[in-house]
Amino acid sequence: MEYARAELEKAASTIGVRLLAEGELPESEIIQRVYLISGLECLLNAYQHAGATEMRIVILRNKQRRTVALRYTNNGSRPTGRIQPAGGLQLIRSAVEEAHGAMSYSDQADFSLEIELPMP
Amino acid sequence: MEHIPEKPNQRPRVLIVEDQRMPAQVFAQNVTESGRYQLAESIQSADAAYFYCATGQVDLVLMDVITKFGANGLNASARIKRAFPQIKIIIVTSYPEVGWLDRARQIGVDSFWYKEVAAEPLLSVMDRTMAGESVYPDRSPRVQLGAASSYDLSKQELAILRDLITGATNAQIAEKNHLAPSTVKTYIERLMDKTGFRSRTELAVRARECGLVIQKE
Repeated sequence: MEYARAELEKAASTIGVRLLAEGELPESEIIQRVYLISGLECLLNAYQHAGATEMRIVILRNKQRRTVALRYTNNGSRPTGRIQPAGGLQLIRSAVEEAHGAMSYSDQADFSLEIELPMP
Repeated sequence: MEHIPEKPNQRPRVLIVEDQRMPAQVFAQNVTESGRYQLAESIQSADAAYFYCATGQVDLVLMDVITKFGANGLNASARIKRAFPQIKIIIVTSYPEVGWLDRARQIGVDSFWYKEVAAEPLLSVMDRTMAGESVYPDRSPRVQLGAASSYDLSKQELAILRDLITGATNAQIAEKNHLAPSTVKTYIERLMDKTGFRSRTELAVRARECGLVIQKE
């Protein structure tokens, strides 16, 4: 298993959150780093703010556009207000921008974070 | 030493952040065999350190600087210290990069330990750090760069060398350091004179190789 995936699973197991990951993560180091940073921040938020017991990650490759998309959701409680993009989300944004990708998140219903990255 | 609890479940929990297998194993062995500490986790990337601190699993971090995927341990330490100033951090590195000591102090890292050349064992530094001391070496290890010792180079010369290894032009280095391009040229000529290297490329390559200056993340 790739390092980033293994590290994220290990982190999830230490707080009792079940990780459900679908799709294949590209080997590129820059994509793996974004996956690790964004995955850990989503995991932390899911655990601390939403009280989640499961976090789902969907990895989708678009061969035509040569991109990979990461989508994070969890089974915790819905956000009670607008999410302020503080430290964690800013950190993810920096990593995504360094990889020349884009990200968006939704706090209107269930929280979700979506990231799209170009394949090297 | 004071404040080191005797009961196993009260032993300080140590997070090891080290991407090289051998040092990570040695640190883990130090921790588990000490009888004074317990291993919280051993991870390879500084990007993952904040998670373990934020979830209340850590009292002390042994933090490498250059870690998996190039994640910088000093940047991670700064974030941890801002949010959890009570968590102790010891930087453990084998690189002699002279700027890291100052940066570590600025961000409030508790202690700093050089892997290969430290006179004091790591466990002793851990004990003193947990007892509230800040343990720093007086200076970074001496490194030879051509004919010059690292101690022969000024802070400004080192700052210019740090930018030179990125492949920056004199104009780019000048802008970054708020200097005139002609002043940068003079500094580089002085560096070549001190080291004995005949080209700026050789100077940059050798400076990078010996670890005296590391490209910033």
